[in-house]
Amino acid sequence: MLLLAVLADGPKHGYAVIAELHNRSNQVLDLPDGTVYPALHRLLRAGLLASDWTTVNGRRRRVYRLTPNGRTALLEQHQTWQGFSGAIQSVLKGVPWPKPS
Amino acid sequence: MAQAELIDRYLVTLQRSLGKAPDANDILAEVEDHLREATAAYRRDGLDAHDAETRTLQIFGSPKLVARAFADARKKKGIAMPTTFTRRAGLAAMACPLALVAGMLLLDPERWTAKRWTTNWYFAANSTILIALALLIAAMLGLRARHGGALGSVGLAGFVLTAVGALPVLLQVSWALPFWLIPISAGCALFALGLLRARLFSRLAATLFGGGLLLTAALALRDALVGDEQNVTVWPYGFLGIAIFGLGLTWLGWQLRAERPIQSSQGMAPAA
Repeated sequence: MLLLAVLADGPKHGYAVIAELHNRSNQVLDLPDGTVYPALHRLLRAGLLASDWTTVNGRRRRVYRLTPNGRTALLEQHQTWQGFSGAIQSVLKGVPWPKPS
Repeated sequence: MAQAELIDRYLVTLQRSLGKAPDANDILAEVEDHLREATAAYRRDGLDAHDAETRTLQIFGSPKLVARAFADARKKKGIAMPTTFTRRAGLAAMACPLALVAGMLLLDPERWTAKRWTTNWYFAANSTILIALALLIAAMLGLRARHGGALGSVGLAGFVLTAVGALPVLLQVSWALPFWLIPISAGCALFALGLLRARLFSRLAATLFGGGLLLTAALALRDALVGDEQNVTVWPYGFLGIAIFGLGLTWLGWQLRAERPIQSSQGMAPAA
């Protein structure tokens, strides 16, 4: 979900995806950078991401983008996560959830 | 040690660790782009060449760790992302056997009711079977999407064969059972083979789904070969095959339908 969310703003290459992940999480998500690429490849194989190759400074660069299926999956996972985190928050705070209006 | 040498040595070690991975060249190109860019960013932050490269490689992870992560990702079947589409496909999978049984019953009303066979009965039967096959194709599309390509060429071949098998019914010749039952049963069997190899859903369900229609198709072929126009073997024994197929497909449909995104994140890396 996090990788999909980072790519929701537009296409990015792997380094930019990982940098954005670090920035948005304020460096809390501190996985070895190299382990993020296999996750990106899985999302590619799942059809949730697509990629294009370009050449930058003489190097081949893969640029990832969300597919329509990826956007749908992101929306669904986001909603599920919001429900889940809301429930956890209300348990921790000892208040009913959703809050009565 | 020169800057390029550290990264180059890392890439050589990674190449060895990747072994005969089919996408090794693409992985190496992608990793190299990352390492060069990260190093350049550290240089801009004031590190010297050696420190920048050392820091980049430390954060990236050892070649062995990265190669193992790619190998694990390749082994993992499917993707933990049920979507609205895959869950709707689950409904289609559960509805398909009911429509197929109804269509088969309508195909020969004189055997089951006192009603005389008419072209209207035949039209109703053909249309109902066509609906069942449309539901079957929708279910297969959902299963294929849910497996994220893990069904491979075997699954694709099964899907194509099933779609081709639906053509005779589309052309209103559902009375010729072997013409459509044989390719469709073979298609389902191939598709089930892909499901079995993917190991995402129940293997028993996949086996029932793949094997059931083969029985019915074999009986229909037997009747056709001996010139039995009354299809005495297909009726009623062929329904046993349809029931087995229906049980398997309903089971798979139930699994597709019951999945929730939070439960389906099994095997996903936290960052994904």
